Amino acid sequence: MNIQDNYQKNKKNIFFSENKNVENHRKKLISIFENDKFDKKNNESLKNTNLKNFFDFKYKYLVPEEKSVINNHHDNSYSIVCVNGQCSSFKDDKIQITKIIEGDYIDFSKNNTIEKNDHFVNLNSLFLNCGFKIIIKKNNNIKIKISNIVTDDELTIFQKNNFICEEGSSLNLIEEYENKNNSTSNILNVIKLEKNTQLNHFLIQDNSPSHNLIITSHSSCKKDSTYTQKVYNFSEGYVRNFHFSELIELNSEADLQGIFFLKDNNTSNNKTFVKHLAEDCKSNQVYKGILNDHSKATYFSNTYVDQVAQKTEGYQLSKGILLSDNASYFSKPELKIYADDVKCSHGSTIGPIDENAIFYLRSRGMSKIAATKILISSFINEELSSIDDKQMSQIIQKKLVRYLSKVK
Amino acid sequence: MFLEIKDLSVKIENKNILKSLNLNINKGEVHAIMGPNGSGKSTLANVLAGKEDYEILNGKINFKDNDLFDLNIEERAQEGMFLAFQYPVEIPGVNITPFLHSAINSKRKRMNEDEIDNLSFAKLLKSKASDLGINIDMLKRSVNVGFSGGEKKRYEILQMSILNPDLAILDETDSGLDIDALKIVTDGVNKLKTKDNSFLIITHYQKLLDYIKPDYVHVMVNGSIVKSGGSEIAAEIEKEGFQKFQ
Amino acid sequence: MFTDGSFVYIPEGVKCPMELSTYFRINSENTGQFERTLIIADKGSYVSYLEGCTAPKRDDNQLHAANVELIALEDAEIKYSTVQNWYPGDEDGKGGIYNFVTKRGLCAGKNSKISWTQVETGSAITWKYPSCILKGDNSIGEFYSVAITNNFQQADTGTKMTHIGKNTKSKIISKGISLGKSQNTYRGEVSFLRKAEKARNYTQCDSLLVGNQCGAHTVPYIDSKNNTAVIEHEASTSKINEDQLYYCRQRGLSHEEAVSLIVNGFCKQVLQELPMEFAVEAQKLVSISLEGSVG
Ligand SMILES: Nc1ncnc2c1ncn2[C@@H]1O[C@H](COP(=O)(O)OP(=O)(O)OP(=O)(O)O)[C@@H](O)[C@H]1O
Ligand SMILES: [Mg+2]
Repeated sequence: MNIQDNYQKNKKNIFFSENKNVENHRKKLISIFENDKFDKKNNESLKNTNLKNFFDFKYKYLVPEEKSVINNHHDNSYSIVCVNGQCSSFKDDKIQITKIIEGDYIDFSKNNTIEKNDHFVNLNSLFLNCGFKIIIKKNNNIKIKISNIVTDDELTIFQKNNFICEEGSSLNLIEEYENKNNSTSNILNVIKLEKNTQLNHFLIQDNSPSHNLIITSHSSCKKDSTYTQKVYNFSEGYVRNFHFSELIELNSEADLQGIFFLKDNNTSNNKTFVKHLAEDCKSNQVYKGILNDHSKATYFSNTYVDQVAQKTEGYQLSKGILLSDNASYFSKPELKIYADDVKCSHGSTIGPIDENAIFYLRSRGMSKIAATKILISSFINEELSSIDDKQMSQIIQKKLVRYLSKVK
Repeated sequence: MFLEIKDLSVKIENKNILKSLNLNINKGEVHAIMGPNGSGKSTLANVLAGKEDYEILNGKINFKDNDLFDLNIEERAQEGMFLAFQYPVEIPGVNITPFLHSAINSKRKRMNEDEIDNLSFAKLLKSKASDLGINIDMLKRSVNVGFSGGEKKRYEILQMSILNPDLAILDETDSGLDIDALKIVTDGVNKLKTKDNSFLIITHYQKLLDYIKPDYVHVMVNGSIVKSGGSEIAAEIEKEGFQKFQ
Repeated sequence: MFTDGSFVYIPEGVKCPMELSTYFRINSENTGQFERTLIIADKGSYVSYLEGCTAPKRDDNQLHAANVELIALEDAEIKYSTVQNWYPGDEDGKGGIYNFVTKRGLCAGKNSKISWTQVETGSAITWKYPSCILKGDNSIGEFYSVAITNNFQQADTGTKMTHIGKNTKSKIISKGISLGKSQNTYRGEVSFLRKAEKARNYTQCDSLLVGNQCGAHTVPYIDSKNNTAVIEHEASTSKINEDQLYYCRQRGLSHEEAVSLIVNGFCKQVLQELPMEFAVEAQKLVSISLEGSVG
């Protein structure tokens, strides 16, 4: 079914379709789709992407109303079960949760300067059918855990969330995606860090082969703020992690990190992009992947340094380990630099597990397979040991063990 | 007066480091500065050499009848100021021999002397290197790249003996040297010493001052010189530390 | 469009004892030059080929669109060096050569080797990506590049290494220096196809920025479809190191001399790949390209 028809047919279930400005914006998006040939060569965001993910899933827009659960624990921590992209409203003196509002939609569509032709983001804007907004109020220190659940087969979630950290606040955010049904989530997180804030964002992804997850984030950091994102992708289904950060004021920092574990016929597409638009900012983009069987991955990273962004420090690292003859990994670590007082670097390696190390371990009496597993674990140990949260670190360890049990 | 530092106050990144510092050095004298870590010794050395990161809040420095602040880094060097760095920087791909060759020629040019040609320079370098126990093979390498700590220090002294400065500032040149190397390096310094040149030696150890006899020893604490005297001060510090000067 | 060119054949087992050199010059105004070069090195042979380019000042733009193809058979080695100093245009970006060049190499036989070395200081716009197809087992491809851009120059250069055969190796060393208002881009692709057992690549691309109105960009594509192959890629971009400048000046070198020395050091890994006489010329050229823009 083509996009135009689909849109018209389901319009009444799509958010904000009665708003004229939104409508006009969507008309433009539709014409972009109609004119695009979906040429994978000329559109990086499509490389290694199965276009079936786009057009073949069932558009079932009417998201069943489900009551989400919000728990307010004593120690400034909250847990939220977000069902089908919906979250009920909540308010206390520290946080405020509401449904996504029109103003945020328009704000994003106007100010999105990164990657205008990302089809997945455009689809999200076009078919938006759920989403929430969380505000962390000034000077609060909060912990939130969100479990994202999709209830029905053949459901497609087009979800847009806004996270706002008000001045002086700090947020520890853990998001879990563990879905077993045959559905697709297309999620866009718009994240704003006001002055002097800190957000540690963990995304734990562990879906079954039938669930597709497309997750995109746009974060922006004001003065003295730090956004840290860590993605742990254990999904057996398709995952697309595209994460963008803009450092818009002095002395801010963005850390975009990820690890993925792929097997069977799975594919994962990853991209990080940091725009340095102010002085004295720092960024890290670090992705590591293990690929087994027939799996495929891409990783694009990009550091853009504007002419005014003096004293920038930008670092990129991409590491891929191919465990099988049929796995493949593509990476494109890019630097675009227009300021002179900068320190930017990137490193990228792709290869098998270090044979010398395997040899060494075997000479100490270890079997080849045991040695391989030890080396895979050590490859990502650094990341795991940096997790302060004991419970979360255990959860991740368990998933790692599960992955390793399939390595032969 | 050969070098006269008057009431010098210096700041870096909102931090006052040197505070109303005074120091006079005459031709032919050897001065030693001792002081606890972070007291500002290297800062003083860098200000003298003209490093550009510092903000001069106050004070005057006269060197060989020049206002030092009128000269940039290389002009000071060409006028005969030499700093043996505490941490010499590595310069990949820049070969030692041509590097020193251009250095000596730029000095000669300023002094209206003829440039020294390749052949005589190579000879000079070799003989000075062997005096300092530096292997000839080392002269083929890039400046400081992959040198051990002691090798870097020796190489600083080699440069000093080639450039033959009027005022040599040695910033902890003794650190990292084994006992034999210390002997060789200090011999090098003593050979170079005449009644027309002066030395400013920054060190933490009395040991060095056993080999190079200073005329004056200064104690620097918290950005100023709190006590000056003869070699007996070094012995005092060796015994009791800096506590009593603070 | 083909205007001129040369064909070189090195017979089996012949080691060419001297450097073959050509020299290109564009004299007449408003012209384009479209030459072709084909070099075939037969089994076990060796050749080193030098290419130098200059053009006098003109206010108009001129076009140089050349095509160079190299084929190395079993055990043969071809070393191709370029020192390109076409007229870059004036300080306001007026005039200059458009230098659009296609360079391809095929390591057809086992143990063959193709090595590209280039020093690119001229031209208003350069687009050039000497490539190697590593088809023969154990074959080797190398790319050494220095690209300096000043004023309004644009250089977009890099390489493409396609590993097809077993045990193939490639090495890429790229040094970009941007000054003035220029844009300097490294664009490269390394790919390992399924059959490229135990293939290896090492890439290092470093950029140096002198001045705050220029740009340095690194755009590498890295693609591996073989799990025994190893790709290592490193890149860095920074401005000239202040401590190094300070050190050199403390020894009495002027600011300009110090910059020239440090930049030459930065390029050393590439310049030393050039044949002796050329290396000296190239060093001078590097220093000249920096003149006036420092301080
Ligand atoms: N670039 C700089 N930025 C900030 N502080 C600096 C800088 N350079 C020096 N300082 C500070 O200035 C003080 C003096 O430093 P300096 O290096 O002169 O000490 P020092 O006496 O040589 O010490 P040491 O014996 O350890 O070599 C220290 O507290 C140091 O941290
Ligand atoms: Mg010191």
